[in-house]
Amino acid sequence: MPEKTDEEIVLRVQGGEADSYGDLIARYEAKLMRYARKFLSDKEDATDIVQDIFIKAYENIQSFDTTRRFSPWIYRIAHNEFVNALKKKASSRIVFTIDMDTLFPHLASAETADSVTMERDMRETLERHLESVSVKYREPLILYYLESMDYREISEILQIPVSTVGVRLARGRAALQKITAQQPHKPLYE
Amino acid sequence: MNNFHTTDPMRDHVMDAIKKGEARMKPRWHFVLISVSFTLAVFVTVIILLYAVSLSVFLLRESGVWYVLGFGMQGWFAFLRSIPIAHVVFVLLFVVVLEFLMCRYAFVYQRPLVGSFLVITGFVTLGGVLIAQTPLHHEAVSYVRTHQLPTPLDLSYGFIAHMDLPPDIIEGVVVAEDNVSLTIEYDDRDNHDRKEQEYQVEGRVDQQDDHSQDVATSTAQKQFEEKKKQKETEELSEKTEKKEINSDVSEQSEKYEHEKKRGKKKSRVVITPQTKLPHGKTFKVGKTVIVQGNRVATDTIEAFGVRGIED
Repeated sequence: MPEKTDEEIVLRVQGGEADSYGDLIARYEAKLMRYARKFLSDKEDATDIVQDIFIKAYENIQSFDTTRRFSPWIYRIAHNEFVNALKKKASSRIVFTIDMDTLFPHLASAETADSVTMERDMRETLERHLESVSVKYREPLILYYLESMDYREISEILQIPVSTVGVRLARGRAALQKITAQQPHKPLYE
Repeated sequence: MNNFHTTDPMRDHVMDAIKKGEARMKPRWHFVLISVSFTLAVFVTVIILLYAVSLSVFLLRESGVWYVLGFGMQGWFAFLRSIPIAHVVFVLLFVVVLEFLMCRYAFVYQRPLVGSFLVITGFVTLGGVLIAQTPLHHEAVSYVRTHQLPTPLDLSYGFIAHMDLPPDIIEGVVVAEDNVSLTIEYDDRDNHDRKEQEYQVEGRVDQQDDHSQDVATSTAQKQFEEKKKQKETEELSEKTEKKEINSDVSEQSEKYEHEKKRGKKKSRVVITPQTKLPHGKTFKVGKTVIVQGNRVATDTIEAFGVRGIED
C-alpha cells in the first residue's frame, strides 16, 4: 500500500481523524529537531519549542491549503517560533526591521546546482561554524544545505523574495569562508 | 514512517494534549473570517487611495495647474510646487498600509518590495486620474456649497474656494487675438473690488507697428463696452441667485462669494517662437486658456506656455 503523502494525512486530520496527526509528528520530528538545534543553541529549548510547533500546527491545521505542500507550511510555523524564542532571550539582539535585501531585485542570485562535493564540504563547514554566522544568513543556509529545500520553498518559509534567498545564501557562504580562513585548520573529528 | 513499537515522548505528549482538549483545532470559519477581513481591508484601502488621488487630480485640474504639464520643465516645476503636500503624505501613508496588507500574499512577498510599491503607486495614480474625469467630484463640490458634509470632506472640497494658481500661471478667457499675441481677461487676485477699467494693449513685440496699435486700442474700446454690459447682466443674475439661497445655507455659500467679488483684469499674452503650444496656435475668442509666463510689463506677459482648457 503506497505511503500517504503529507497532504493526504492533513486532509484526514482536517476531516476529524486526529489520530492521523501522529503520523505527521513522526515524519517531521527529527527534521524540526535538527532545524531547531542548528538555529538555537540550547537543546532543551529545542525540544520544548518543537513541541509547541506541532501543537500550533494542529491548532491551525484548518488554515492549510491541501493543494500546496505541507513542508514549507510547517517550517514557516517553526521559523516564527524560533524567532519568538530568540526575541524572548535577554541576551539575544534580534531586531527584524525592513530588510534592504528585500527591497530591490538581485540579478546575480539565480539558483544553481552545486556539485555533490561542494555540498558535502559546505555541510561539514556548517556543522563546525554555523553558530558563528549571523541569524539572518544562518537560516537560509540550514534550510538549503541541511534540509535540502529549494529557493522557492525557502522564500515561502521566510516570506522573502526568491532573489533575496540567493543573496543571503551567497553572503552566508562568504561569511563561512571568512570564518574558516581566520581559524586554523582542525579535523572534523578530534 | 510509522513506528508504533518505540516510545516517542514528543509524539505522545502532543497527542495527549490533543486528546485532553488542551490543543484544539481552530474551526475553518475562523480562518475564512481572517481572510475575508484582510481582503476587505485591502479593498477599503484601495478605495481610500483612489479617492484621495482622484481628489488631488481634481483639485489640480480645477486650479488649472494641471494643464501646465505640457509646458516643459517650467510647467512641471510649477505643477510639482502646487501639489498639496498633505495629500502626498496621506497617499504615501496609505500606500505603505496597503503594501503591509498585501505582503500576506505570496505573489507580493516573493518579489522585491520596490516592484510591488511601484505597481501599487502606478495603479492608484492611473485609477485616480480616470476617476477624476468622472462627474463625481464636480457634483460633490456643488453639494458642499449648499450642504454640510463631514469635516474632512467639507475641508477637502472647501479648499477649492481658496485655491490660487501660482503667480506665474493665469487662467483667463480670450477676448482678442492676433498673430503674435492674445488678450485674456481673468480674475484680479490682488483686488477684490469690481473694476471697470480696461488696460490698453501695449506690447513689446518688435513686429508691431502703429497701425496695429491703433487697431488694438479701438478693439479694446469696443470690448470695454461689451464688458460693461456683461457685468450688468452678471449683477442681475447674482441678485437673483442670492434670493434663491435660503438662510440656512447662506453661510455655506458666502464663503465662495469672494470669488464673485474679484475684479477682472486684462493682459496681453505675447507668444514667442519658444512658447509651448500643446494644442496648437489657434485660440478663439471666448475660449478659456491657461497661460504660464513672466510678466514683462504691467499688463503684458511673455508666455512660455499657452493651452486651452477643455470644458
